[in-house]
Amino acid sequence: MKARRHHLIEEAKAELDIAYEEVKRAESRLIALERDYGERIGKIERANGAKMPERLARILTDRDAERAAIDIPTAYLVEKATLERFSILTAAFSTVCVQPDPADAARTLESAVFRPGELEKTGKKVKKALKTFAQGLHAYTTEEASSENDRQVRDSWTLIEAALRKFGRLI
Amino acid sequence: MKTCLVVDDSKVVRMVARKILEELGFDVMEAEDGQVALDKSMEAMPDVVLLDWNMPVMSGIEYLRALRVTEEGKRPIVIFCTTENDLAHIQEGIAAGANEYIMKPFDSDIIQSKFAQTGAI
Repeated sequence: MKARRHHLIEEAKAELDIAYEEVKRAESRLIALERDYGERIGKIERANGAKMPERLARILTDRDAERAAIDIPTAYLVEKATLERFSILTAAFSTVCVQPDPADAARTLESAVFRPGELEKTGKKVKKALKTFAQGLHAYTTEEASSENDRQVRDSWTLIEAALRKFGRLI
Repeated sequence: MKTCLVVDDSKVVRMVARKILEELGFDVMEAEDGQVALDKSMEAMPDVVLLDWNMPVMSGIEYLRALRVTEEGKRPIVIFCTTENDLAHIQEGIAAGANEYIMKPFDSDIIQSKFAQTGAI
């Protein structure tokens, strides 16, 4: 018998870290791009002359295209989504870990994961998934880290996340 | 242009990996589980596979074993990606035919260095 941490939460944390690294990378590329284009635009302006407006317009178009390719708004949005997912998953894991009885944990999960009024709109399937998640995670962390318990946690969480997405969560 | 198949059930991971790999000059394909990856590999065998471990429908190792049995001629470089760092887990992946592994979370430097080590770039 082997009890251990469930990897779903580590995967969610890894997802958040990957998104964060991507934001950092995009930001540093954007800073470098602005610096580079700032210098080039300065040179054109200093050179002056009849072709200056045309050259300036061209370089600004190039800069905008490169800015768009870095796509920092998407990087921020992805980071926000991974943060939301990790937060909800952390709440769910801590709920199951502090409640010794999986049935109590499942009841607490209803309000820890869903906002008031949401769960009533989802139907029995999601409520059952909360119970299955609590039972599976409890068994995985305290009894046996088996692939059956792992599958129970992952499959039920997939259903819960799908329901949360319907309420507009970014996860 | 070399092709890389990114296999991960996380849309975020696929999206970030795609961006990094495209910058490295790869033509990137995506699959959300092992079965989809296997179907895509049979259609067009990629040069490199960046493979997640825990996925629904068909896991990374199940895909890898099936790939190594079915591949003909072209043998893709497989780099598996995992949050699990125990030795037995890594050995299992290598024994199943992976060329290298990457610990999650990864960034562009790690991907570039592991791809270079395996000769993927």
